[in-house]
Amino acid sequence: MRHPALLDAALARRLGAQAGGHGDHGHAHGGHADHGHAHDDAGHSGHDEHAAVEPGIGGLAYPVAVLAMLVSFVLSLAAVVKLGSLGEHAVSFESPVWHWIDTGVFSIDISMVIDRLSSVMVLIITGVGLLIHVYSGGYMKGDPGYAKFFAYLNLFVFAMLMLVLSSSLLGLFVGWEGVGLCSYLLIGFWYEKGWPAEAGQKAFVMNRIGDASFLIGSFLLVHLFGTLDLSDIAGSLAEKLAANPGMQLELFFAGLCLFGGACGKSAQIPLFTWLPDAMAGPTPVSALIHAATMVTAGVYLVVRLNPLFAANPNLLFLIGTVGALTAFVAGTTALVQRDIKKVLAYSTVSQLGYMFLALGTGAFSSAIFHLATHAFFKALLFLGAGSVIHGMHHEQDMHKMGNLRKYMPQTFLTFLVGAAALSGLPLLSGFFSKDEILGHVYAQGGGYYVLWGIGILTAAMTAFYTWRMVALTFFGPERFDKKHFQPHESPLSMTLPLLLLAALAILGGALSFPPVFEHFVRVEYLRDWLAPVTDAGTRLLEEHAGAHELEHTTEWILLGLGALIALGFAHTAFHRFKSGIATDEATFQRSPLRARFLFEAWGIDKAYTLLVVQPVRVLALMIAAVVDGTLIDGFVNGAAQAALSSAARVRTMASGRIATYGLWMGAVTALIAILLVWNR
Amino acid sequence: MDSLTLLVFLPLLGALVVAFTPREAVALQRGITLATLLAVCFIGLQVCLDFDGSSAAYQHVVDIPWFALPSGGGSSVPVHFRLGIDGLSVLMIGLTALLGPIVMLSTWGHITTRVKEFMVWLLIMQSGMLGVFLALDLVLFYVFWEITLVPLYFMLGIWGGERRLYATIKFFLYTLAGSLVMMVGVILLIYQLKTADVAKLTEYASSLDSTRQTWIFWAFALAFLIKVPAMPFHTWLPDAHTEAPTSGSVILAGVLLKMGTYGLLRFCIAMFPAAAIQAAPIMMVLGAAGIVYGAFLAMAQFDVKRLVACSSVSHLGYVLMGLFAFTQAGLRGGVLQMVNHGLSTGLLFLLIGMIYERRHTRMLDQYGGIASVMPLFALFFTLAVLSSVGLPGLNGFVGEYLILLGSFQSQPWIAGVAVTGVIFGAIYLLMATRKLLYGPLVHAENKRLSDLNLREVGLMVPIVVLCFWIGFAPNTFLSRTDASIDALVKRMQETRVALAAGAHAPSTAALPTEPDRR
Repeated sequence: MRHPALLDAALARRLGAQAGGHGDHGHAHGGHADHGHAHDDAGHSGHDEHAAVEPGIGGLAYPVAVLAMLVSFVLSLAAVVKLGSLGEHAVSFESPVWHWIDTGVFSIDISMVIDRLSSVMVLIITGVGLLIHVYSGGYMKGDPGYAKFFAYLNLFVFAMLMLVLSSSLLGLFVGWEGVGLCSYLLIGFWYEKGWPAEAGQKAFVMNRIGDASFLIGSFLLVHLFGTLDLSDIAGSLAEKLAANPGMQLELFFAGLCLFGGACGKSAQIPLFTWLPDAMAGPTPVSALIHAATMVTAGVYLVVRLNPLFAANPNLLFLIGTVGALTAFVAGTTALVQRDIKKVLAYSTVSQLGYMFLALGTGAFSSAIFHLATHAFFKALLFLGAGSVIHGMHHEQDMHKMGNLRKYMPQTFLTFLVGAAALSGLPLLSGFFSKDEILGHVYAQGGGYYVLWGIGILTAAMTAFYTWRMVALTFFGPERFDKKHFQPHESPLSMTLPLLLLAALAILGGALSFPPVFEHFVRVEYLRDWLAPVTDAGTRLLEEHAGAHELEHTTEWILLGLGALIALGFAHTAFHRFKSGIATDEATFQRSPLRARFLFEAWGIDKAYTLLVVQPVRVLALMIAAVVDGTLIDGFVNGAAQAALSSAARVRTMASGRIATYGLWMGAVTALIAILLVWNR
Repeated sequence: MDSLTLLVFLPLLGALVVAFTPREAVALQRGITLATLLAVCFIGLQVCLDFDGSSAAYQHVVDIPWFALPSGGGSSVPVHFRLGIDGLSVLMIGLTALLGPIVMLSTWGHITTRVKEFMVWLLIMQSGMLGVFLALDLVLFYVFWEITLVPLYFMLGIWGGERRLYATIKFFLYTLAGSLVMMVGVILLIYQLKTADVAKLTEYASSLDSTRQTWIFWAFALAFLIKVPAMPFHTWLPDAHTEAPTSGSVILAGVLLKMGTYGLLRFCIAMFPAAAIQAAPIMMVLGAAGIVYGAFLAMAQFDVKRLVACSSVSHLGYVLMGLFAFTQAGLRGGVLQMVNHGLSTGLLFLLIGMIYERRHTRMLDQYGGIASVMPLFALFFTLAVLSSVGLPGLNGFVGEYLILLGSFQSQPWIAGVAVTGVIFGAIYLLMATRKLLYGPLVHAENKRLSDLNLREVGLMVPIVVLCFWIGFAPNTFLSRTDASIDALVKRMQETRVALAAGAHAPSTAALPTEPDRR
C-alpha cells in the first residue's frame, strides 16, 4: 500500500501543474502554464498539455451553477415558510410529478413532498450547498475541468434533493444512487492520476454493498406493506404491528437491511473505509458531499422511517452500538493523521457515528440536530482546510505547515470557530448537539451506559485531535520552504463562505438548547418542529421501553462534564503541539506499531483487501480458468472431438464441413424422433 | 400487404436486390441495405405504437395455409404461415426493428471486405429474427429459428477474428445441439396434438399427461437455455462475441440471445405451465447462479469485449430468474430487461468496436486515460456502463428492480443471492471503465486517438434516448405488456392451485381428437 502522505504529495504535484491558473489571470496559458510546471517536479508530462484551460463558454459554468443554487435556496426558504404557516395540522405538502413504475400490483410514483424533516434537510442542502458553490469558484479556478466540476456539483444537489423530497422509498433510492454517482465522479475528478479513480470506484462498490442490502429491505417492506410510500409505511406501522405482533421479526430484518444501506452511504462500520479514500476529490466536494450532506443520508433514512426502527429495541441498540464503535475507531485514527483532510475525514466518520448513536437511543431529533450543526462546522472546517491547501500551494501535510495564522488570518479565525464547535467547547453549536446525544444515551441506562462511556471517550479524543490539527497548522514554527513560495490568504469568494459558515457554527446551537436552559431561552425548538415526524417512533418506543427523562441535576452535571472534557483535552492537545511536531515524532518512535495501527484505522482496510478483495479476485480467475476453461469447455471440446472423429471414420460422409455434419445430425435425429412417434 | 408480412419479407427482398448488384458497387449495396432496414424499422416501430396493450389477444394476425405435414394413418397436420403480435413479443419487435439500421451504420467502420455478402446476411438475419418473434405457427417458428443460425455462422466465420474457426464451430455445435433437441420436442408436440398453431397448442398442451409435458418442456427449454445462454451452457458466448465483428456482436447481444428468453416465455412457460412451475426453482437457481457466475467470469477478463460478453451471461441470468418467478413484477421486469440488455450491451459492443477500429486491440492494459483524448467516447461509455449497472434514471434499474422484487416475492432466498449481482456488476464494469478511461495516458498510441465522429455519435443517440426513456418513463413500454402478462400470471396461479389440489393441470379445453391414439 502506498503511504497516504505520498499520495497527498502526488495530489499536490498534480494540482501544482495548474497553479498558474489562479491569481489575477483566469487561465493558464503561455508563460503562466510554464510557471505552473515549475511546481511540477514529478516529471509526469502526460497530461500537462491539458492543463491549459480553453477560455470560453466554460467560464459561464460558475455563474450559472451559483445562480441555480441561489434560486434553489430561495425556493427552499419559501417552501419552509409556507410549511411553517400551515400550522400544526397540515405538516406537509406534496407535488406529484409522474407515475414512474407500474409494477402490475402497485405503482411507484415520483412525487416531491416537503414536511418538517425534509424542510430541515433542504435548507442544509441548498444553504450549505450555495456557500460551497460560491467557494468552489475560487478553489477550482484554472482547472481544466472547471465547467464539468460545476455540472457534477449541481447534479449532486439535484440528486440529494431528490433523496430528501421523494415520497416513496424507491424515489429516495433514485437520489441515493444519484448522489453515489456524483460522489464517484467527483472523487475521481482528477482521474489522470489514477488513484482518485480507484478511490471513486472503491466508494461506488462499497456503497453498492449497502445498496444490495437496501434493496432487500425494500422488498421486505413491499411484502409487509404492499407499498413503498414512505408516509404510508411510517403511518400505518404501529397499527399493523398491533394487529399482527408476529410481523416483529420481519420488521426487524427490514430495518436491519435498510440500516445496512445506511452503513454504506454514511460510512459506518463495517463499510466506512471508502470515506477516507474519498478525500482524493477536490476539497469543496469533501465539504459538501463527504461531510455536510450525502453521508448523512443514512441518518435521514432512519429518521424518515423511525417507527420501523423504533419497533424493535434490539435493532436500536445494534444501531447505537455500531454508531458508538464507529465514532470510537474513527476518533482514534484521527489522532495520528498527518494529512489535514484525513483528520477531517476520520472526524466525519466519527461524528456520523454520534448521529447513529443518537438514533440508537431513539433520539431522532437529536440526530438531526447534530446532523445540522455538523453540516455547518464540518463544512467550515473542510473549506478552511481547502483554503489552507490553496494558500499553501497544494500542501496537505500538516507537518509541512505551521504558523499559518500569520499569513491567512481570516481562514485562521474561522477555522478556530469550526474547531471550537467540533470539539464541543461550551456554547458553540457542537457543544449542544453532542451533549444532547450523550444525555439521551445516559438516560437510557443499562447497556447504554457502556455506549455513553465510549461516547465520552470519543468526545475527549475529538477535542484532542481537533486542537492538535489547529496547533500544527496555524501555530508553531514554519515548517515549509519559504524560498519556494509564500502562503497567502484566499480570495473573497472563498473567505466569505467561511465567515457565513462560522456564524452558523456559532449560532447553530440555538436550534435546540438543552431543557435546563428553559429559564433563559426557548429550548428544544428543533425537537418540537420535528415532532410530527418522530412522534410515531417515539410513541412505539415508549410503549415497550418507557420514557427516559434526565433530572435537571444530572443534566447539569453531564453538561459540565462535557464542557470540562472538551476544554481539558483541547488545552492539552494545543499545548503539546503548538511548539511543533516533536510530540508526533515521539509518539511514532515510542511505539511505532501502535501508531501505525491507529494510523491505518486499525488495519481494517488492509484486512478487507486481504480477506475479501484478493480472494474474490483469485476466485474469479479460478472460475474463468478452471471451471469455465477446463471443466465446461473441456467437456464441450471433448464431445465435439469425439463427434468429429467418429464421423471421420465414416469416410463417405466426412466431407470436413461443419454444415454437412449438422445436416447429418439433424436428419438422423429427426428420423429417430419420427420413428418414435410412429411406433407409439 | 399487411405490415407483419412486410416486416418479414422486406429484408429478404432487400437481400435479393443486393445480391444482384455488381460486386464493386459497395455504396449502392450499403444504400439499399440501409434503406431497407430503415423502412423495416419504421414499420416495426409503427406496429409497436399501434399495439393495444389492454388486450391479450394476438394482433395484426396474418394466416395463410402453407402445407400439410402427414402424420400417419391418413391424417395430416396443417402448417400455416401465421404471424401475430402480443404483449410478450411487442417489445422484441420494436427492439429488433430499431437495432437494424444502427447495426448497419456500425458496419461502415469495420466491414470493408466482401461487403455485398455481409449486407445480404444482415438482411436475411433481420428477416429471421423478426420471424422468430412474430411466428404463431410452431413449424414456422422453427424454420425462422434455424434461419437465424446461418447468417451468424457466416458473419463469424468470414468476418471474425483470429480464432474465428474455433468460435464458429463451438457456436454452431452448441446451438445445433439445442435446435435438434427442440426439433424432437416440436415433432412430438405437433403429432400429439395434431396442430402447429401456437394459440391452439398453448390451449391444449396442458391436457397432455404430466410426464409428456415435462419431457417436451425440457426439450424446448434446453434449446432456449443454450441460446440465452444460461449457466452452464454459456461457454460458446464469450468466444463467439470475442471473435465476431462488432455488428455481429451487437446483433447477437441485442437480439439473438433474447430469442432464448422469448422462447422460454412463449413456449416453455405459456404452453406448459405445470411443468414450468415444477421447473421454476431449477430455472431460478440457474438464473441466480448465472448472475453471480457471469459476474465472476467478467471480473477475470483482460479483453474488454470478452468482459462484456461475460456480463451478458450475468444480465440474462436476471431475465431467466424474473420470468420463472411467475409474478407480475418478475415477468414485467423480465420482458423489459430483454430490451434493456439489448440496448445497454448493444451500446457497449458498439463502443468497443469503435475503439477497436482505432486502436486494433481490446486488451484493457493497452488503454488508460483515454477520457482526456476521447471525451465523447468517455461520455457514451460511462452512460452505457451506468445503464448496465442499473443506475436509477436509466433503463437497467427498472428491469433489475422489478425482476429482483418479483423473484423475492416467489423465492426470497434465491433473490437474496441474486441481489449480490448489483455489487459484482459494479465491480467489473467500473473496473473496465477505470482501466479504459482513467489513469495516466501511458501508451503513446493512445495520445493520437481521435474522438467519435458524427456517424458514430448519431447511431448511438437513439439507443441513449431509449435508455433514459425507459429509465424515467418505463410505463410507455410496460403498459404494452399489461394484458398479456396479466393473463399469463392468472394462468400460472390457476395452474398452481390445480397442482396443489392434486390435479395434473386445468384441462379446460377439450381436445379436437384423442391425443393418444394407441
